[in-house]
Amino acid sequence: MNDYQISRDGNQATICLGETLNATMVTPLQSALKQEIGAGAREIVFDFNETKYIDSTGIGLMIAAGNSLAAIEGKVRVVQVCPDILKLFQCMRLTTRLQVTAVGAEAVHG
Amino acid sequence: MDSYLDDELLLEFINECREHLATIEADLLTIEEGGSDIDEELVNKVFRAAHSIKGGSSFFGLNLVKELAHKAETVLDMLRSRKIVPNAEVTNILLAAFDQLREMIERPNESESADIADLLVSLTGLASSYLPAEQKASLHQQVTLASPGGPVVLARTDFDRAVRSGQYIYVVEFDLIHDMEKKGKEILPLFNSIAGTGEILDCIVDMEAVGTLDGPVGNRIPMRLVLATILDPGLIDGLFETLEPEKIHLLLDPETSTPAPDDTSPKPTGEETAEPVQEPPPLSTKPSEPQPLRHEKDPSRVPRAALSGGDTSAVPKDETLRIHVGLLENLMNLAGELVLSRNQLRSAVAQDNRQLIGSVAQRVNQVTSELQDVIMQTRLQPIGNVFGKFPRMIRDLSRSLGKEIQLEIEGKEVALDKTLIEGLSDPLTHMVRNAVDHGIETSEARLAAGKEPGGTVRIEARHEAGQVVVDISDDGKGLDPQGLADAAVRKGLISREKAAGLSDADKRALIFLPGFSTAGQVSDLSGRGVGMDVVKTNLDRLGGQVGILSEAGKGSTFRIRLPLTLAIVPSLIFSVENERFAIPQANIEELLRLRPEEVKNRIEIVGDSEVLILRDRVLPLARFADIIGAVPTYMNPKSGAREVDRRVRLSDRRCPKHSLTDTPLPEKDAAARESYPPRSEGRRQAAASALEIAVVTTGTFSYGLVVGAFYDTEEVVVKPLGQRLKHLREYFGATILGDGSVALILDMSGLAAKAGLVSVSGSARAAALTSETEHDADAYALLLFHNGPKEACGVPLNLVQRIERISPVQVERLGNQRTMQYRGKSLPLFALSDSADVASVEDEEEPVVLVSSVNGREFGILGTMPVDVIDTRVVIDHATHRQKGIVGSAVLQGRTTFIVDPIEMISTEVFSGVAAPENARGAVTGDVATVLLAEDSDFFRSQVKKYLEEEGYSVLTAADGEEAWSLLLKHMDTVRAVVTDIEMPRLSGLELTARIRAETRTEKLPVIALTSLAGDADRDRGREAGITEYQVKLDRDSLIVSLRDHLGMVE
Repeated sequence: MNDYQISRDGNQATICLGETLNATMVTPLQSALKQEIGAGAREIVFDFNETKYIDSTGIGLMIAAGNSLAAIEGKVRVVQVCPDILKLFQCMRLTTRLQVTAVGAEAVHG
Repeated sequence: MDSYLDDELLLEFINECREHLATIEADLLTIEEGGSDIDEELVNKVFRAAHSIKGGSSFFGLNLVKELAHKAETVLDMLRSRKIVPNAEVTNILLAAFDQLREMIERPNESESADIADLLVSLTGLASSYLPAEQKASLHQQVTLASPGGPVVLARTDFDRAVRSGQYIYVVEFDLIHDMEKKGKEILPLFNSIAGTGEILDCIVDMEAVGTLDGPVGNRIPMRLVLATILDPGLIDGLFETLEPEKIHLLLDPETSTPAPDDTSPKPTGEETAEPVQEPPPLSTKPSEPQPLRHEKDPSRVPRAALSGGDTSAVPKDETLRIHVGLLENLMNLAGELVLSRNQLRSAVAQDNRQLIGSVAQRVNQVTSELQDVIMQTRLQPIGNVFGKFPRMIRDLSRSLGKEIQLEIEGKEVALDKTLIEGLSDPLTHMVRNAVDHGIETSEARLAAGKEPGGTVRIEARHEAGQVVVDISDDGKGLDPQGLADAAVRKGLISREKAAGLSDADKRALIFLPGFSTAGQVSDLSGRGVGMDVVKTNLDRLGGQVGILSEAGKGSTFRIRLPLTLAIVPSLIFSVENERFAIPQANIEELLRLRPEEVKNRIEIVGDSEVLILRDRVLPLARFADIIGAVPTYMNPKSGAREVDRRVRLSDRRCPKHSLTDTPLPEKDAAARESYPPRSEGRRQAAASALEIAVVTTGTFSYGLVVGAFYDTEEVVVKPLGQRLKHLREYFGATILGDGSVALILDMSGLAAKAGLVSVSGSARAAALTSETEHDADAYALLLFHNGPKEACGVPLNLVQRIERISPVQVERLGNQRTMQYRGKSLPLFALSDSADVASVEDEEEPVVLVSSVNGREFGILGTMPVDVIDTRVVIDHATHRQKGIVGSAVLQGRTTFIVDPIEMISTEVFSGVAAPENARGAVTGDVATVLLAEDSDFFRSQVKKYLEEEGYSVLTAADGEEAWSLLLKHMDTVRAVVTDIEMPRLSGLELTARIRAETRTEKLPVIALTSLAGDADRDRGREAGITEYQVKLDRDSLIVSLRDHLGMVE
């Protein structure tokens, strides 16, 4: 699966990503994210359950989303990250800033 | 999508934490009771618990759990290194911390909101309060390093660690998009490489520069990476190959920098240095120039004395030692260079490359052999350094246990590499404790056993065959093999069936199993059941082996064998699928080459694993290519091409269909295996290639390792594995070979664990196989020699007493008879050409004489070099090359080989009359005695028949037991004895004997069994069946004597 799905629960929008988050995905995702924020989402959860690959532009998108939400006191969370990508976030010291965890949103925060 | 899997993982983590936390309270209290006499093992256990919790919580994003566990770990580390002494205060805080951890782990959802601030302060205070004054602040201290992009602030602990381990620190500034992605560098492999070659100390992403969703995304991600690595400036740009050199800045050069001075003031939070910092030049200009360092400090809060660094007494001694070790390591690298140069020289000489020889010789001149000697001596330290603590330890332990124990130490002066000395300390301590605690009995028990009341523990070190051997002996109760086996069964470590089949040595080796402990009660000293497996693991890591010699009631000796150094290890180089690897020589027992026709008979299946039958041993077998996941190939002798080997098992006969020349095999491609049909398909045909097998030992058990090809042995310089390979337990290190290529050095214990190999000695099938090998009827032990250069010959080894290399002038001719002087006598010499139409050996330059005898008279067979001995199973063709003296031929080692019968060869008029038919007449009747010979091998049957007939016996022959039984029933009146092989089709020799014993008319008939190799177990089975005597096949004289004895024949 190379697509993504967005679900909405109150002011939380969850983006279930496909296997890959790369430059080709960024433009449609950027529009979708702007739309969600415009519609009142203040917490965006990137679900990496299916995701095995991410490139630099994908990282850029997540930082940009974090920056956009920080400006309106919202936040980004990244959940269900596979070990390889989690290690990348750890190396880049992004785990705290993007609230990255290996487990699902439910497992940690109910 | 769902978090089910992750919930499961989290649950598993929680369960694991519960296990860790279950005994921590008791452990902490025990540690407190011990006071300054710290039980390192127990502290280590608690430390490992905190460490595991920290690691797991980090993975699950439980940041506060991680932080609290980290602080607790710091305090435990200080306990472990005796920097703080456990007391009530320390214990209370640690108990509170673990209570809190337990609570947070039970409710991970709420853990991030837990209030742990007070605990963190207490733990930090605990750590700092016990530090020397000038070190207290180090927990908060930071170090600032100058960099062109602005100062780099690092935790003092990170900086110190890099200095201690001789790492370089770089700051690398780049844009993830422009410098990496747009130049084709992917981020995941990039960071994997970076993390694999060092430690990322910090990474600062310029988040603002990335922008928001309102702007273009993915235009730039600027970042600064601070990296500590062993890569020197000449290598670092290889890691960042798309980056201009000026973006990589060296901040710390371990070769030129000194450790940070004692400007150890705590830095106010968030404050950065106000001092101007000097920018270092980029690497491209002055890579090796020492870089200025600046350390975070606040002069207003730091005493002068501390700033001056004058109080060196506060610096722990071990840190001073570490600095010296770093220098020694540098010197050691020089020694390594020297050995590498020598290897290159050898390679150059082999290639006869004069230009290369010249340049290598110049290099060798630079780094002289004297330097290597000096360096080695510098690194070697007397093992007495480790022994020094034992007298006190034995005294204290014997008092506390109420035992009288004397300690004897010998070989203190034996020198060993420093690394080994350090690594040996813990295992030795544990083994000496075991000897005192479990080995030596109480005085009462010793008196009751008729011993002196006082026991002795003896520690002895010595050099032996290029290794250091350390024996830890006691004259205590010894190890009871059966008791150990029973204990292992009770603990569920092995099955009762397996235990029953183990040899005593294997049973003793059970104490190295994890979780094994025979102590009825856990004692203060040892017996926690985690000791000996750790001892073995530690010794494995040192490249050592440990074995046990023990006799119940008399004592035990634990024998440790260690290499002199870990830096340079003599190793055998082998290759698998074009990659080369090294096996330390100390682990090699022998090397085997199984020809295709031998594979079927020498490799069998036990359970679902393959085993190698090596004489009377059955060893587990592993194919190295399978272990490392390489696609196996082999050389097709017909086409000369490398083809994919699709055999599921080595003993399979399968015709490979896929030639590498037809279908190129993608090298090093994990998917390659899948791109070929599974090896389980295909029809069985003749195997095409021989197997090269290294029989290796881990110290406690041996196994066979199938490799591609063997090369030479080399003294390889051991290089540590990088971060990415460190977790691979199957490798001990890496080395650079003479041709510059890299070879990984195998850790035989780790490899066995990875391959899941276990000793097969306990299985019934293995016992059966061992038994079969002991008396296999079709095995031939042949001595190979040459008649002329083109005529390969083989003679049954049993018929040859000695092999003498002689000079052609030693052969004397008197009339028609050749002789040579031999042990003061004249030895008649015969050549195959005397009796058969073959080439003459008269003029050959390298004659050999195979000394044999018949009826006690010695004679020699003339042949030529080379001479070899093989164990083989072949079909002998009795027709094609049959001549007088040549009973047939067989294909051996790829050549048609004459099978020579020396007796037939010499039974000409010259040497006639050796046989004495009169010998075979019955003492009472005077009749010629009839012997029934049962043997399924045509070769052996014809040979033995001939001996017997030459002795004057009448011989009836049968090709199997059933035929022999029929013949016996038919000729019951004349048959005086039965000579039988054991392994025969239809009815075996043992079954035939059983029938003979069961029939009243034949029950008293002597039955002599013939066997190739008679083992004890074999003889026992034979006796049970009623075999009168065993004789080795083709030992003519013994068979004749035996028959005479049993038949009461006249001399």
